[in-house]
Amino acid sequence: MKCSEYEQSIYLWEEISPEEKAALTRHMEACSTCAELFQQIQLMKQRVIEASANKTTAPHAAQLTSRIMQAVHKQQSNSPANLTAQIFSPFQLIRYAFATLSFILVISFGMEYARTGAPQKPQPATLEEAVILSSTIIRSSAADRKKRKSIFSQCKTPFTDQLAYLECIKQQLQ
Amino acid sequence: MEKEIEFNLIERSANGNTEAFRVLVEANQGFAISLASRFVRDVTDAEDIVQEAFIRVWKNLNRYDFNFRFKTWLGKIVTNLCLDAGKSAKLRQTRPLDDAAPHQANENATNELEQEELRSIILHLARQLTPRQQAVFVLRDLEQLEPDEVCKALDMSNGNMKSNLYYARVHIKAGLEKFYETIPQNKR
Repeated sequence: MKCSEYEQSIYLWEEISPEEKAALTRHMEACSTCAELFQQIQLMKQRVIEASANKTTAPHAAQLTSRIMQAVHKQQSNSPANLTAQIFSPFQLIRYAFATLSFILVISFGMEYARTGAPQKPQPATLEEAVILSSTIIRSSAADRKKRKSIFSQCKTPFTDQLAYLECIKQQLQ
Repeated sequence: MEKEIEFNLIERSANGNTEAFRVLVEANQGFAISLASRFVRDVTDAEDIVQEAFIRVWKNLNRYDFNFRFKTWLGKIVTNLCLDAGKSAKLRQTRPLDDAAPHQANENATNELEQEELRSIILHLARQLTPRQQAVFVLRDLEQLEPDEVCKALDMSNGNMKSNLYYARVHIKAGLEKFYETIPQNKR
Protein backbone atom coordinates (compact mmCIF):
# COMPACT_ATOMS: atom_id res chain seq x y z
CA MET A 1 0.00 0.00 0.00
CA LYS A 2 1.10 3.54 -0.72
CA CYS A 3 1.60 6.20 1.99
CA SER A 4 -1.45 8.18 0.76
CA GLU A 5 -3.62 5.17 1.53
CA TYR A 6 -2.50 5.31 5.17
CA GLU A 7 -2.99 9.04 5.55
CA GLN A 8 -6.62 8.84 6.63
CA SER A 9 -5.75 6.19 9.23
CA ILE A 10 -3.01 8.46 10.61
CA TYR A 11 -5.53 11.27 11.12
CA LEU A 12 -8.11 8.87 12.57
CA TRP A 13 -5.85 6.78 14.82
CA GLU A 14 -8.29 6.76 17.77
CA GLU A 15 -11.24 5.94 15.54
CA ILE A 16 -9.85 3.07 13.43
CA SER A 17 -10.15 -0.63 14.18
CA PRO A 18 -7.37 -2.67 15.89
CA GLU A 19 -6.63 -4.36 12.55
CA GLU A 20 -6.15 -1.03 10.83
CA LYS A 21 -3.94 0.13 13.70
CA ALA A 22 -1.76 -2.96 13.35
CA ALA A 23 -1.39 -2.44 9.60
CA LEU A 24 -0.51 1.23 10.06
CA THR A 25 2.02 0.42 12.79
CA ARG A 26 3.74 -2.08 10.49
CA HIS A 27 3.83 0.51 7.70
CA MET A 28 5.26 3.25 9.93
CA GLU A 29 8.07 0.97 11.07
CA ALA A 30 9.29 1.06 7.49
CA CYS A 31 8.16 4.59 6.48
CA SER A 32 9.69 7.57 8.27
CA THR A 33 7.48 10.09 6.39
CA CYS A 34 4.28 8.53 7.70
CA ALA A 35 5.81 8.10 11.15
CA GLU A 36 6.65 11.83 11.20
CA LEU A 37 3.15 12.77 10.04
CA PHE A 38 1.75 10.53 12.76
CA GLN A 39 3.84 12.36 15.39
CA GLN A 40 2.66 15.74 14.06
CA ILE A 41 -0.98 14.72 14.17
CA GLN A 42 -0.68 13.34 17.69
CA LEU A 43 1.01 16.53 18.83
CA MET A 44 -1.69 18.62 17.18
CA LYS A 45 -4.43 16.60 18.88
CA GLN A 46 -2.69 17.03 22.20
CA ARG A 47 -2.49 20.79 21.73
CA VAL A 48 -6.15 20.92 20.69
CA ILE A 49 -7.18 18.96 23.78
CA GLU A 50 -5.13 21.24 26.04
CA ALA A 51 -6.50 24.37 24.44
CA SER A 52 -10.08 23.14 24.58
CA ALA A 53 -9.80 22.08 28.22
CA ASN A 54 -10.28 25.73 29.13
CA LYS A 55 -14.04 25.67 28.70
CA THR A 56 -16.26 28.68 28.52
CA THR A 57 -18.54 29.01 31.50
CA ALA A 58 -21.64 31.12 31.84
CA PRO A 59 -20.61 34.31 33.65
CA HIS A 60 -23.78 34.18 35.69
CA ALA A 61 -24.65 30.50 35.86
CA ALA A 62 -27.32 30.98 38.54
CA GLN A 63 -29.00 33.68 36.49
CA LEU A 64 -28.96 31.46 33.43
CA THR A 65 -30.53 28.62 35.42
CA SER A 66 -33.26 30.90 36.69
CA ARG A 67 -33.87 32.25 33.15
CA ILE A 68 -34.23 28.69 31.88
CA MET A 69 -36.55 27.71 34.72
CA GLN A 70 -38.71 30.79 34.21
CA ALA A 71 -39.09 29.86 30.56
CA VAL A 72 -39.91 26.28 31.57
CA HIS A 73 -42.57 27.45 34.07
CA LYS A 74 -44.06 29.61 31.34
CA GLN A 75 -44.16 26.62 29.02
CA GLN A 76 -45.75 24.54 31.73
CA SER A 77 -48.52 27.09 32.38
CA ASN A 78 -49.26 27.23 28.64
CA SER A 79 -49.35 23.47 28.23
CA PRO A 80 -52.65 21.91 26.97
CA ALA A 81 -53.11 19.91 30.19
CA ASN A 82 -52.78 23.03 32.28
CA LEU A 83 -55.16 24.95 30.04
CA THR A 84 -57.72 22.14 30.35
CA ALA A 85 -57.42 22.26 34.15
CA GLN A 86 -57.95 26.01 34.08
CA ILE A 87 -60.94 25.76 31.73
CA PHE A 88 -62.69 23.18 33.91
CA SER A 89 -61.93 24.72 37.32
CA PRO A 90 -65.00 25.10 39.66
CA PHE A 91 -64.85 28.87 39.43
CA GLN A 92 -64.87 28.71 35.63
CA LEU A 93 -67.78 26.24 35.67
CA ILE A 94 -69.87 28.67 37.77
CA ARG A 95 -69.05 31.43 35.34
CA TYR A 96 -70.11 29.22 32.44
CA ALA A 97 -73.40 28.40 34.23
CA PHE A 98 -74.24 32.08 34.73
CA ALA A 99 -73.29 32.88 31.17
CA THR A 100 -75.53 30.07 29.86
CA LEU A 101 -78.45 31.23 32.05
CA SER A 102 -78.07 34.79 30.80
CA PHE A 103 -78.01 33.55 27.24
CA ILE A 104 -81.17 31.50 27.72
CA LEU A 105 -82.98 34.49 29.26
CA VAL A 106 -81.98 36.74 26.41
CA ILE A 107 -83.12 34.19 23.83
CA SER A 108 -86.46 33.65 25.65
CA PHE A 109 -87.09 37.37 25.78
CA GLY A 110 -86.31 37.65 22.10
CA MET A 111 -88.70 34.84 21.20
CA GLU A 112 -91.50 36.32 23.31
CA TYR A 113 -90.93 39.70 21.78
CA ALA A 114 -91.10 38.22 18.29
CA ARG A 115 -94.34 36.40 19.16
CA THR A 116 -96.30 39.25 20.80
CA GLY A 117 -94.73 42.27 19.26
CA ALA A 118 -93.76 45.36 21.15
CA PRO A 119 -95.91 46.18 24.21
CA GLN A 120 -98.46 48.89 23.39
CA LYS A 121 -98.82 51.97 25.48
CA PRO A 122 -102.33 52.63 26.80
CA GLN A 123 -103.95 55.44 24.82
CA PRO A 124 -105.64 58.14 26.91
CA ALA A 125 -109.42 58.36 26.24
CA THR A 126 -111.05 61.60 25.31
CA LEU A 127 -113.54 63.16 27.70
CA GLU A 128 -116.43 62.28 25.39
CA GLU A 129 -115.37 58.61 25.14
CA ALA A 130 -115.01 58.43 28.90
CA VAL A 131 -118.52 59.75 29.47
CA ILE A 132 -120.04 57.32 26.92
CA LEU A 133 -118.13 54.38 28.42
CA SER A 134 -119.17 55.24 31.96
CA SER A 135 -122.84 55.66 31.04
CA THR A 136 -122.78 52.30 29.21
CA ILE A 137 -121.37 50.56 32.26
CA ILE A 138 -123.89 52.25 34.54
CA ARG A 139 -126.75 51.40 32.20
CA SER A 140 -125.77 47.78 31.76
CA SER A 141 -125.39 47.43 35.51
CA ALA A 142 -128.77 48.89 36.12
CA ALA A 143 -130.36 46.57 33.53
CA ASP A 144 -128.66 43.57 35.14
CA ARG A 145 -129.78 44.56 38.55
CA LYS A 146 -133.40 44.93 37.27
CA LYS A 147 -133.28 41.55 35.54
CA ARG A 148 -131.86 39.80 38.61
CA LYS A 149 -134.45 41.44 40.81
CA SER A 150 -137.32 40.27 38.57
CA ILE A 151 -135.97 36.69 38.60
CA PHE A 152 -135.73 36.63 42.36
CA SER A 153 -139.14 38.23 42.79
CA GLN A 154 -140.81 35.78 40.38
CA CYS A 155 -139.49 32.76 42.21
CA LYS A 156 -139.82 33.92 45.75
CA THR A 157 -143.26 33.48 47.25
CA PRO A 158 -144.11 33.04 50.92
CA PHE A 159 -145.11 29.43 50.22
CA THR A 160 -142.10 28.09 48.36
CA ASP A 161 -139.46 26.08 50.18
CA GLN A 162 -135.74 26.49 49.71
CA LEU A 163 -135.28 23.72 47.10
CA ALA A 164 -138.17 24.86 44.98
CA TYR A 165 -136.84 28.42 45.13
CA LEU A 166 -133.40 27.38 43.87
CA GLU A 167 -134.94 25.21 41.14
CA CYS A 168 -137.00 28.13 39.97
CA ILE A 169 -134.04 30.48 39.77
CA LYS A 170 -132.10 27.84 37.82
CA GLN A 171 -134.86 27.52 35.29
CA GLN A 172 -135.16 31.29 34.93
CA LEU A 173 -131.48 31.68 34.28
CA GLN A 174 -131.54 28.95 31.65
CA MET B 1 -24.06 12.18 37.26
CA GLU B 2 -24.84 8.48 37.52
CA LYS B 3 -27.11 6.98 34.89
CA GLU B 4 -29.75 5.78 37.36
CA ILE B 5 -29.99 9.17 39.04
CA GLU B 6 -30.08 10.86 35.66
CA PHE B 7 -32.85 8.58 34.34
CA ASN B 8 -34.83 9.11 37.54
CA LEU B 9 -34.56 12.87 37.14
CA ILE B 10 -35.59 12.60 33.49
CA GLU B 11 -38.63 10.49 34.38
CA ARG B 12 -39.71 12.89 37.12
CA SER B 13 -39.17 15.85 34.82
CA ALA B 14 -41.23 14.16 32.11
CA ASN B 15 -44.05 13.93 34.68
CA GLY B 16 -43.91 17.70 35.13
CA ASN B 17 -41.59 17.93 38.14
CA THR B 18 -39.76 21.21 37.56
CA GLU B 19 -37.48 20.77 40.59
CA ALA B 20 -36.09 17.56 39.08
CA PHE B 21 -35.61 19.41 35.81
CA ARG B 22 -33.77 22.20 37.63
CA VAL B 23 -31.24 19.62 38.86
CA LEU B 24 -30.74 18.42 35.28
CA VAL B 25 -30.25 22.00 34.11
CA GLU B 26 -27.75 22.79 36.84
CA ALA B 27 -25.80 19.60 36.14
CA ASN B 28 -25.63 20.06 32.37
CA GLN B 29 -25.73 23.76 31.58
CA GLY B 30 -21.95 24.04 31.92
CA PHE B 31 -21.46 21.46 29.19
CA ALA B 32 -24.12 23.13 27.06
CA ILE B 33 -22.55 26.59 27.38
CA SER B 34 -19.11 25.19 26.64
CA LEU B 35 -20.41 23.41 23.54
CA ALA B 36 -22.41 26.37 22.26
CA SER B 37 -19.48 28.71 22.68
CA ARG B 38 -17.43 26.46 20.37
CA PHE B 39 -19.82 27.44 17.59
CA VAL B 40 -20.86 30.99 18.37
CA ARG B 41 -18.56 33.78 19.37
CA ASP B 42 -20.71 35.73 21.79
CA VAL B 43 -21.47 34.32 25.25
CA THR B 44 -24.91 35.98 25.21
CA ASP B 45 -25.72 34.16 21.96
CA ALA B 46 -24.46 30.93 23.54
CA GLU B 47 -26.69 31.49 26.59
CA ASP B 48 -29.72 32.13 24.37
CA ILE B 49 -29.02 28.90 22.51
CA VAL B 50 -28.63 26.97 25.75
CA GLN B 51 -31.92 28.37 27.06
CA GLU B 52 -33.70 27.39 23.86
CA ALA B 53 -32.08 23.95 23.99
CA PHE B 54 -33.33 23.29 27.53
CA ILE B 55 -36.84 24.43 26.59
CA ARG B 56 -36.79 21.95 23.70
CA VAL B 57 -35.57 19.28 26.07
CA TRP B 58 -38.43 20.07 28.47
CA LYS B 59 -41.01 19.94 25.68
CA ASN B 60 -39.72 16.63 24.37
CA LEU B 61 -38.93 14.76 27.59
CA ASN B 62 -41.78 12.35 26.88
CA ARG B 63 -39.95 11.27 23.75
CA TYR B 64 -36.58 10.81 25.47
CA ASP B 65 -34.73 7.75 24.22
CA PHE B 66 -33.14 6.05 27.23
CA ASN B 67 -30.49 4.53 24.94
CA PHE B 68 -28.96 8.00 24.78
CA ARG B 69 -27.04 9.65 27.55
CA PHE B 70 -28.71 12.91 28.50
CA LYS B 71 -25.52 14.76 27.63
CA THR B 72 -25.53 13.28 24.11
CA TRP B 73 -29.15 14.25 23.58
CA LEU B 74 -28.58 17.75 24.90
CA GLY B 75 -25.41 18.01 22.79
CA LYS B 76 -27.40 17.06 19.71
CA ILE B 77 -29.99 19.78 20.36
CA VAL B 78 -27.38 22.43 21.16
CA THR B 79 -25.35 21.52 18.06
CA ASN B 80 -28.38 21.69 15.79
CA LEU B 81 -29.41 25.05 17.24
CA CYS B 82 -25.87 26.36 16.81
CA LEU B 83 -25.73 25.19 13.21
CA ASP B 84 -29.11 26.83 12.54
CA ALA B 85 -27.94 30.01 14.25
CA GLY B 86 -24.74 29.88 12.20
CA LYS B 87 -26.82 30.20 9.07
CA SER B 88 -28.01 33.63 10.14
CA ALA B 89 -26.02 36.53 8.82
CA LYS B 90 -25.42 37.90 12.30
CA LEU B 91 -23.44 34.95 13.49
CA ARG B 92 -21.64 34.56 10.18
CA GLN B 93 -19.92 37.87 10.72
CA THR B 94 -16.48 36.72 11.70
CA ARG B 95 -13.85 38.73 13.42
CA PRO B 96 -10.95 39.77 11.21
CA LEU B 97 -8.36 37.03 11.18
CA ASP B 98 -5.76 39.35 12.67
CA ASP B 99 -7.73 39.50 15.92
CA ALA B 100 -6.85 35.93 16.56
CA ALA B 101 -3.41 35.99 15.02
CA PRO B 102 -0.64 35.05 17.35
CA HIS B 103 1.78 37.73 16.19
CA GLN B 104 -0.19 40.26 18.22
CA ALA B 105 0.46 38.38 21.39
CA ASN B 106 2.44 40.11 24.02
CA GLU B 107 6.01 38.89 24.20
CA ASN B 108 5.58 38.39 27.91
CA ALA B 109 2.33 36.52 27.60
CA THR B 110 1.86 33.75 30.07
CA ASN B 111 1.28 30.15 29.06
CA GLU B 112 -2.35 30.62 29.95
CA LEU B 113 -2.66 33.44 27.47
CA GLU B 114 -0.96 31.34 24.82
CA GLN B 115 -3.47 28.61 25.48
CA GLU B 116 -6.30 31.09 25.10
CA GLU B 117 -4.75 32.31 21.89
CA LEU B 118 -4.42 28.81 20.52
CA ARG B 119 -7.99 28.13 21.51
CA SER B 120 -9.15 31.21 19.60
CA ILE B 121 -7.27 30.08 16.52
CA ILE B 122 -8.70 26.58 16.69
CA LEU B 123 -12.23 27.92 17.07
CA HIS B 124 -11.65 30.35 14.24
CA LEU B 125 -10.45 27.52 12.00
CA ALA B 126 -13.36 25.33 13.11
CA ARG B 127 -15.81 28.02 11.99
CA GLN B 128 -14.36 27.81 8.50
CA LEU B 129 -15.39 24.16 8.21
CA THR B 130 -18.67 22.96 6.75
CA PRO B 131 -21.41 22.69 9.40
CA ARG B 132 -21.15 18.88 9.51
CA GLN B 133 -17.36 18.91 9.77
CA GLN B 134 -17.49 21.63 12.43
CA ALA B 135 -20.06 19.71 14.46
CA VAL B 136 -18.04 16.48 14.32
CA PHE B 137 -14.80 18.27 15.21
CA VAL B 138 -16.35 20.17 18.12
CA LEU B 139 -18.05 17.13 19.62
CA ARG B 140 -15.19 14.67 19.08
CA ASP B 141 -12.01 16.72 19.51
CA LEU B 142 -13.10 19.65 21.65
CA GLU B 143 -15.83 18.10 23.81
CA GLN B 144 -14.18 14.65 23.76
CA LEU B 145 -17.37 12.71 23.10
CA GLU B 146 -16.97 9.05 22.14
CA PRO B 147 -17.27 8.26 18.40
CA ASP B 148 -20.63 6.46 18.83
CA GLU B 149 -21.97 9.39 20.84
CA VAL B 150 -20.97 11.76 18.06
CA CYS B 151 -22.74 9.52 15.53
CA LYS B 152 -25.88 9.47 17.68
CA ALA B 153 -25.80 13.20 18.35
CA LEU B 154 -25.49 14.03 14.68
CA ASP B 155 -27.54 11.16 13.21
CA MET B 156 -24.49 10.11 11.22
CA SER B 157 -23.02 6.77 10.20
CA ASN B 158 -19.60 5.85 11.57
CA GLY B 159 -18.06 6.13 8.09
CA ASN B 160 -19.60 9.52 7.53
CA MET B 161 -18.42 10.71 10.93
CA LYS B 162 -14.86 9.53 10.23
CA SER B 163 -14.83 11.15 6.82
CA ASN B 164 -16.00 14.51 8.24
CA LEU B 165 -13.53 14.24 11.11
CA TYR B 166 -10.65 13.49 8.74
CA TYR B 167 -11.33 16.56 6.59
CA ALA B 168 -11.83 18.69 9.69
CA ARG B 169 -8.47 17.61 11.18
CA VAL B 170 -6.69 18.16 7.86
CA HIS B 171 -8.10 21.68 7.74
CA ILE B 172 -7.24 22.43 11.38
CA LYS B 173 -3.69 21.13 10.92
CA ALA B 174 -3.20 23.18 7.75
CA GLY B 175 -4.61 26.25 9.49
CA LEU B 176 -2.36 25.85 12.51
CA GLU B 177 0.66 25.37 10.28
CA LYS B 178 -0.23 28.59 8.52
CA PHE B 179 -0.23 30.51 11.81
CA TYR B 180 2.76 28.74 13.25
CA GLU B 181 5.66 27.57 11.24
CA THR B 182 5.07 24.15 12.68
CA ILE B 183 2.53 22.72 15.06
CA PRO B 184 3.04 24.84 18.20
CA GLN B 185 5.47 23.43 20.65
CA ASN B 186 5.12 24.06 24.36
CA LYS B 187 6.81 27.41 24.01
CA ARG B 188 7.46 29.01 20.66
